Amino acid sequence: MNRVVLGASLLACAVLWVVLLSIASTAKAHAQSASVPAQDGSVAIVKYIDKSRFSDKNPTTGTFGEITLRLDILGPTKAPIIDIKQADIRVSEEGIDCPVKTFTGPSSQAINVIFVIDVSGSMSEAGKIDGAKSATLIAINELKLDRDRVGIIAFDHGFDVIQPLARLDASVKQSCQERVGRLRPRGGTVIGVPVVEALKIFDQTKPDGSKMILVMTDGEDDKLPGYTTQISQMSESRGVPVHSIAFGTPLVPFAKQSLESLASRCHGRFYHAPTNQELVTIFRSRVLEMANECTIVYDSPYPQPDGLPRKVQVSINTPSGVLAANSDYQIGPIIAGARRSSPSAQVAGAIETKSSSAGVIKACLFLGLGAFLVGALIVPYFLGSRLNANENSLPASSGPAASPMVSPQKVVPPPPPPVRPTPPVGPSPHIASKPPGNTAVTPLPAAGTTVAPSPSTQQMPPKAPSPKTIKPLPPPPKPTARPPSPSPPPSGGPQEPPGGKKPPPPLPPPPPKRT
Amino acid sequence: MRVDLWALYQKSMLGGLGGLFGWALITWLGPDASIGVFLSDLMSGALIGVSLGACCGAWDGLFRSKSLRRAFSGAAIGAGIGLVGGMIGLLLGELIFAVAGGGLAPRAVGWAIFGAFVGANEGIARGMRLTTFYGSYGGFLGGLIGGSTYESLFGFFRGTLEREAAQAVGGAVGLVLLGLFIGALIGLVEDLFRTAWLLFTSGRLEGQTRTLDSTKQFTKIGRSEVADICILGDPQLAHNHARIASRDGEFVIEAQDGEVLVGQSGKLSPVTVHQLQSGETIQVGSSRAQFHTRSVRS
Repeated sequence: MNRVVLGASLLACAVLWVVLLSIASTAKAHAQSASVPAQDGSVAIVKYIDKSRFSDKNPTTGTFGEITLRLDILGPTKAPIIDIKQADIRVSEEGIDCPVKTFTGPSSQAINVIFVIDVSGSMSEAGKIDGAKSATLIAINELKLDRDRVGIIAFDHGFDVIQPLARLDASVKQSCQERVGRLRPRGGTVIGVPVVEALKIFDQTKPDGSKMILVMTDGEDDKLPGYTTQISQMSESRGVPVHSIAFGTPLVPFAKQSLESLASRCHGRFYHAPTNQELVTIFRSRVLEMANECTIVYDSPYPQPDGLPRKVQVSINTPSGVLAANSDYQIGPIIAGARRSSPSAQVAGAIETKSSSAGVIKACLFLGLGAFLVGALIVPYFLGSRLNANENSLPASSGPAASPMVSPQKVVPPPPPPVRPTPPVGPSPHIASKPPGNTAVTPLPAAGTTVAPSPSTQQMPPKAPSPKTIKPLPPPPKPTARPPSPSPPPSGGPQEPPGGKKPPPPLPPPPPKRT
Repeated sequence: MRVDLWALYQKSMLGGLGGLFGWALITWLGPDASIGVFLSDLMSGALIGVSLGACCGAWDGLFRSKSLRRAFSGAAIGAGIGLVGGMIGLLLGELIFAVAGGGLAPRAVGWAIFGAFVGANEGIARGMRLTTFYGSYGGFLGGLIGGSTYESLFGFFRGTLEREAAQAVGGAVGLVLLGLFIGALIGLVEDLFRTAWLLFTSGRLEGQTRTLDSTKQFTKIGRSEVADICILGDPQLAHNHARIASRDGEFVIEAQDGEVLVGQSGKLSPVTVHQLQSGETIQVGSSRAQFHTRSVRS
């Protein structure tokens, strides 16, 4: 088989294995992230786990491991339940109860949103630019004055920050209306750069409250996949989800794929708005949904990033009953669990009794796995050696090959004692493929005969003996494997006597000494 | 195409043992979570790389040449290369993991890079470029499979065990599987990709194969422990008995301090220099081997 095809096949098998495990892992995560609705249909859903402050030292408490949960707590009509207090919330991570540091109910926290709007030349078609303008302004109207913040970036092949992220008041609102109203379509489409700029703005301003970026485009940008990794990393580290909207029809497959990938990797959602009205609906609903989010902030009981999955369970006392929501997250390095992760002081006592059993488990694991692996190596090896030794003491008969698990092979008779010609002293290093006279087959001597050097070999000057030259032969070694009775050698070589014991061959005469 | 199943089995078990020792080292001596991620990866990668490299490097001496001295020297070289390779590999893997934002697939890719560096150690130690490539590719594949399995195992055990216990079991079994896959795939890729090899049909190495690397100028055969094909315990074999030269994709056997016989199935005759053809039998000392090639199609 062609080596390239073979190598590619092996790689494909390995990749397939990884993909299957990824799918299984994701499915399991989804199953575990279930929310248990109450009988009247109320439900709590953990939408996003913000780990951006995990490694930051809290200036007040001096602790690490801060986690922010963003969740929806919805009543029977899917409207947010608003009369929930911090005392109604219980959070546990890995089965350990965690005190809730802060809880912000629906419509209680500031919303910070940056709109990233496509104003490329194609937006002039079918009134799309007007739809984008009105959707943006309607969404801004849903924000709360003197609490929420808004920013607007317009892009084509470049970008303009037409409204820096600022707290929404009457003047900022007026300014937004004027600047959005002046937008004109022009140029190409480059999406990745303005999204990175929006994330940098969040990084510089560090506003409190919920954050989000809403990206709308009617086109496709073949450079966007190259920015997605950078954007997702920035989004993760800053706790800013990015939602993407493909505007207009038809929906180009490449655009859909790249925008979906961007949203999924940035903990956001992808939307398709075929009409202006749909765009308005999506913009407005995203802002309202964010306004209705609750946030819970707590300190993880394992404040060091160890790479291990962590289960989070939230239970909420509501007038409808207790609502439960589950989720999980990972934070830390590639080698999950290798780093010894000490629990925080407040929970150390809770798990102290479990640490000693873990030490015993580790010791047993090491000894057990080690014994298994060493045994798996040594036992077949010694079994093979014993089998070999037993065969050596038996009379000539067929037997298995020396090593176990060796692939079947043709068993050959033990080599007869070789005849020693005097090799030529030839300077040519090149291939001497059977020059006549030099490599003629020498008939094997019959038992008991004296071998005389053949005339052809005598013509060659003998090689000067070196300290490492093999002396005249001792008796041949015992064969390592007993072959089946071979057919007699064609040129009348030494026959094996029936007793299984070979007579020692006659010693050939020593080579002539060189003077 | 011939796969040496017994060698494959040995390599995978040794790789598993290397993974287990690596897990033990990082569990009891490894970095604490309080130090930086990348510094921690340097230390963890070094510890696991040393273990895997030492175990894989000792294979030749322990099971093929059956020479303790060769086993120790192989282990030492493997440990050294594994140390450096493990540090670089795990660090690069961590970078990819961080840039990708985590997840099972990026973690597997990270371990694949680690495996590629560790897998190269045998070829580097033997000075064989092709073998280095085969080892790297096999280590990459082994790391990809083993690394993804390692990631999944914690989640599997977490369902039934306490966190600390799941961490221990998942880590141990995961690293054993990682080493096992790396060892197995290194051997498998070499056996599948090699274009020339010797299959020993009698003597001390009966049943074993030896890959002939076309990028290595001379492959030395003899009783010396530094020979590329070392056959100990054969008094008929010289320390530097013969060598096989690689020239333009062809292999030529050259007698050195001992006698070499070449021929087809039983009819052997002495040669000084001889271009080997596939299927021919060579005899050095009391050992016979068949020379095999596999045609390479572009």
